[in-house]
Amino acid sequence: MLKVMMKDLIMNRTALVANLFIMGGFLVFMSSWEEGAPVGTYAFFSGLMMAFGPVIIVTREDKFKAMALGCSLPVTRETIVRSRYVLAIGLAVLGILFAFSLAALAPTSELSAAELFRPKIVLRALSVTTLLFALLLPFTFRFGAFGLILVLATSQVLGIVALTMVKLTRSSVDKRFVDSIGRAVGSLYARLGPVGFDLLLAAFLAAVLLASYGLSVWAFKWRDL
Amino acid sequence: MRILISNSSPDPIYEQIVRQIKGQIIAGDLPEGAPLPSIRKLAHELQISVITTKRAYEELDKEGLIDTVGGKGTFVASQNQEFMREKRMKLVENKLSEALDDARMLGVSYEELGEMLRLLWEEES
Amino acid sequence: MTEQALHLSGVRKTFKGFTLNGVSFSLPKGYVMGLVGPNGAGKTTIIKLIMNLIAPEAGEIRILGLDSRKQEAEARAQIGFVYDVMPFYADVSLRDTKRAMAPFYRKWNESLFQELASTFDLPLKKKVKKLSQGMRTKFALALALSHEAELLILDEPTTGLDPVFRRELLHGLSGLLQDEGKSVLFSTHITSDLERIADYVTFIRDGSILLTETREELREVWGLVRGDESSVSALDSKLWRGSRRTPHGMDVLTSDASAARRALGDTVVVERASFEDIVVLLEDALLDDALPDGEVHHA
Repeated sequence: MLKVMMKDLIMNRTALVANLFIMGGFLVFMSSWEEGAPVGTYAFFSGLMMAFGPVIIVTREDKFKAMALGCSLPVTRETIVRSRYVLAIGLAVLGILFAFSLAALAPTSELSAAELFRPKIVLRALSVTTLLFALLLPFTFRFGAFGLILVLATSQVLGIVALTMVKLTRSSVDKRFVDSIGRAVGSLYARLGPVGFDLLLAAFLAAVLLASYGLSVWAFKWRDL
Repeated sequence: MRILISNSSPDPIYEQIVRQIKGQIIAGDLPEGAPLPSIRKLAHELQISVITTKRAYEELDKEGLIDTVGGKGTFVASQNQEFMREKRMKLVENKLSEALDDARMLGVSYEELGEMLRLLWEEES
Repeated sequence: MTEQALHLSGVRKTFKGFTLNGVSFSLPKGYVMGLVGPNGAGKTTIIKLIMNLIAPEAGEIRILGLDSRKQEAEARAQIGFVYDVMPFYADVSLRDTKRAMAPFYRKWNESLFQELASTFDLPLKKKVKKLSQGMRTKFALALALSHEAELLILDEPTTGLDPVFRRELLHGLSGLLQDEGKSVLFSTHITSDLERIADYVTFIRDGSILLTETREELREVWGLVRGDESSVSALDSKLWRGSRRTPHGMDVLTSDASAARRALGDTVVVERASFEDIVVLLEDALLDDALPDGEVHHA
């Protein structure tokens, strides 16, 4: 598994490092907003940005049709999938630490380390990244970079359809839906307390990851390269 | 050992190999105990199939001209060269006596036969 | 029973507009097999199936006794591969590509790789995209040869190579086999490649295997019968493996040249069939006759 991760890192080194700099620049800029970016928003964007790591690996692999190279080496497809998940989580954790350090250390930053490095904030950033690639990876394992586009385009279309429906029917389903989720989360938070809630969130993320992983293994097993 | 393979020859390649190695053993160019290249090496050198060289060696082995020692390689069989030559001479003798029989039946004279042999000899060389 | 380097039985795969039709053949350990057929015949599909890049719908593939799907990692550890178009990362240097791939092989031989790299004049510091097609093949070959693979799988390895290196490559491959036990399967559409190194030749067309035979048998036993259509037509249909009309008569491919010579005598010319003759003339209509009893399919 380590060998597959090393292979991915070597093959995508330049692109990943370049990505880190671009994202880093954006995050420093964001942390330097005069009125001060809200910590939560900053964490959300950090997480979002860091999901680009695995995306870069997948798109580059597709560009060079290099999946066939990895799959010709003496590793099982399951190992390839597992390595990518571990690498994605690793990149997300490192990326978020990097993003937070930037915000804490950049002289122009309005955010402080003490504000950022709290379990709650780290977890929030991490959950954004995790949910994103848990959704994306099974599709990329089945369809390559096309899977990526597929997910994004489908969610786009679904969003438009939902919004149009809401507008046409003049209902407030959308508001009520979002509100009810907010309320549910709020009540969970109130009932479990901050620690309990974080634990539940972590467990939820783990479950999502596991389900996504299982789906990827199954989908990749039958992928023709 | 020197082997020349002709692709235009009607003879199968393995026969060409057998004939040439046999010739060199009988002529003494390949002394007894001399190592022969491995089946694969010979195939590689001659750019022919391993199956072909294998067949040639099997043929030579069957005739008792070479010995394959497991794990060590293939060698010219330890046969008396004198005996070898005699064996070949015997073969020539047999063929000549066959020809002689046919000639007698046709009433060819000794002189005519001698002349025929001389012509053939010159033609061949 | 001799050990098989490769054994395919009843392998099926369907794509849109193409079916690989229950392919079966075996390559004994220590031999070279050429897989020959026109473009689109299914050569690459067979190689992809062996490498488990695509999943078969039916059938079984064994690599040195290992199942290509259930034991994919162990099986591929024994394989050195060279593809027609190697799926390298174009913007990564040769050295980094090697660095990423070498750790996967337990028997990686770095000094051998360095030796091959200098023999092939590989610019290790350059990126893959700076390499010509021939150079890429050489690089792939150096990688494939450096982990002491038992089986080499080469998909059209000679395309893009100049004639001199092509010759060297084929000669080098047969030299590799002096180290007994190593086996090679290579696909090609160039029949002269076969004349250099193949021990076995497998002919494929439209997704079906037409014939697997030793080069020895094809050269020494098969033949091409040429003559008037009327004289040639007298040949026993059992010996008939394909034909073509020419401006001067008819050429018939036969699986027994000496029998044809005996039967037809001086009315025809019987000569050796070249691989090209076989590729062009071989017909699959008589394939059922060639199957051993019990394996004949009833449609």
